[in-house]
Order: sequence, then structure tokens, then C-alpha cells
Amino acid sequence: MCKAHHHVVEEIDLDCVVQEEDIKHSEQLKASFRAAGVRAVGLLGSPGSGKTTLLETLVPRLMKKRRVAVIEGDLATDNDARRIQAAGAPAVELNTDGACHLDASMVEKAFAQLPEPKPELLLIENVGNLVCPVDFPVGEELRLAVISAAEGEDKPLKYPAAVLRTEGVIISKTDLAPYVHVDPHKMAAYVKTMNPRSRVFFSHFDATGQLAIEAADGGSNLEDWLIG
Amino acid sequence: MHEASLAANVLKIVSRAAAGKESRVRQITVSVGQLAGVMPDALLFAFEALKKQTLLTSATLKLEKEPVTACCEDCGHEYQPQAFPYTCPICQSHVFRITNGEAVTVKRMEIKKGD
Repeated sequence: MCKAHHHVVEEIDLDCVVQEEDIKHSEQLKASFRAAGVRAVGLLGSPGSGKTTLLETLVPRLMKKRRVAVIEGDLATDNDARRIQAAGAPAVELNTDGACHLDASMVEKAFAQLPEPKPELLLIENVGNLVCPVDFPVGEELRLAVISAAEGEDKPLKYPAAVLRTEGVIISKTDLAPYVHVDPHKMAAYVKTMNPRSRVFFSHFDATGQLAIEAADGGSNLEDWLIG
Repeated sequence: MHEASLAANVLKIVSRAAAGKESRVRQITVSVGQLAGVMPDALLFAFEALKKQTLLTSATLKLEKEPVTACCEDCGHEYQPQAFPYTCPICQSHVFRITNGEAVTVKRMEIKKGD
């Protein structure tokens, strides 16, 4: 059947990666960050997983060791940038007006808006979404997925790209685990089974109202790992 | 929900490659990696909607699933992992690097030959 068909239609191989421009742009951005002595770290996770709360705690601690700035991504409002500024670091808010992820050109523009001197450690909080941001690197050296215990025990398994295509996972809100019938250790074990090289951390509010963050895998603490 | 921008990129890549023969492009084959956060139906829908604004109005989009491929970091063997934990069939190592299944790729296009 194909003979006639072949005469009429010519098949041309293309093999073009559709996200190639985005990937290239991210690589260029990473190179220019490196050249400027900036280490970029990305945070991604569902809305309400605790990304900004984590940053509010981390920023003052990291500022003791490095010059820190934050880029916040949200569909709307500058609430998160204001929270980070209140925590002491310069922050720029990117409103995507509905877009499901940040991209490298948005981050490049936001970085230019950060005051001088530019940071040594740049934390980039992506739009709340456990799916799309994974596909769009924005010049980061490390990417971290934040998954809260309240989202359900099997979330690492249900969102494999978020575990396989990041360097670390923070299982947040472990203080809620008993109320939502979730075992955070099982979540950590899922992550390690899926991606043995991934770092895993737990976070929860302790009795004094402080966010406590601990390594769940016996490795270095989160701050040291982020600083690199 | 970034399938619309992916569909626009597919149309851009094919238009560029077709260079003057856009109206003769028929089937475009695109592979979608299993780890690319892409919804096939949304990609097809966006393609159909956006192609009307291009010269590729006779083109149809065919999607293929691209499985995950892992490269064993211990022995270098490339394999298609099945279930977690990903295990190298040669040396049983669990340490790997993903080599395929993350991208959306325009594989090929068919162009109707001119008279």
C-alpha cells in the first residue's frame, strides 16, 4: 500500500527538540550567573506546599553566610516578595498573569531588577505547580521540589518528573502528618527509591513556632547544601 | 498548561523546515517524553487551534509516546526502566541518569510532492 503513497509524500526527518530554545536560554543564563559568581537555586511545588514559608526561614540564616536575593513567581500579587523583603532580603516579584511556570527570559529580566550588589545566592521560587516548572529550567544549579505531607503519601510516585528531574525534595508540614494519616518516612523512602541521588529533607513547625528543617537522609543540612 | 506554547513551537519548527512548502505539509510526528509534563489532548487541541494562523493548515499532528531511557552510572549500560526502583539489567545498580523521555521532539514531517 505504501508504494504509491511514497511517491506522493516525502518524509523528512527533523529531530528538533521543541523546548530547545528554553533549554538553551537556561544554559546561557546559568553560564552568566556562574561568571558573575551567582549560584541559582530553584524551588518548585504545588500551591500551598510551603515554598515561601521555607524561604522566610532560610533567608535570614543564609544571609549570615552569603549575600542572598529572591525571585518570586506567582500568577498575581506581590505578597510573596513582600514576605521575603520582611525577612530581610531583596526580592523581585514576577507575575505571570496565568502562565503556569517561569521561564529563563523572565528570570533574566527579574535578575536585572535586583539591586546592586547582586546576590551570591539567588533563590528562585517558581509558580505553584508540581508539573510544568520541571520542564522549564531557569538557570539553576540545583532544583528542589517541595511536597507537603498534607498533599498525600504517594505524591512522589504520582509526580515522578518532580522527583527524577530535581536534585532534592523537601517534605514539608510533617507536623500535620498524623492528622492526614500520612507517614513522612514513607514519602522519603519513595523519593530515595525513585531517585537514589536525591537529597531529602523534612520540615515542620516546632513547639516554639520555628520552622525546623532536618535532613531525612543523613546528609548535610539544607543551608550548607544550598550554599554548595 | 503550557501546551499552547509547545504547539506554537512545533508550528514554528515545521514552518522553518518546510521553507516555502508549508501548504504541502501533511502529517507531523511529535514524540512526547513520559517525563515531560505534557497533556497529549491539550497539545493536539492547541495545535489545531493555532495552525489556522499559519500556512500549515493541511497539517495534522500525530503524537508518539517516548519512553524513559536511563543510563547506568556504574556500568554505562542504557536501558528502559520499568518500575521503581530503576535497576540496571546488567549490573543491578540503582544509580542512573535520565537520557530520554524528558523532551517533546518534532520527529518528522510529510510533505506532499509538487507536480
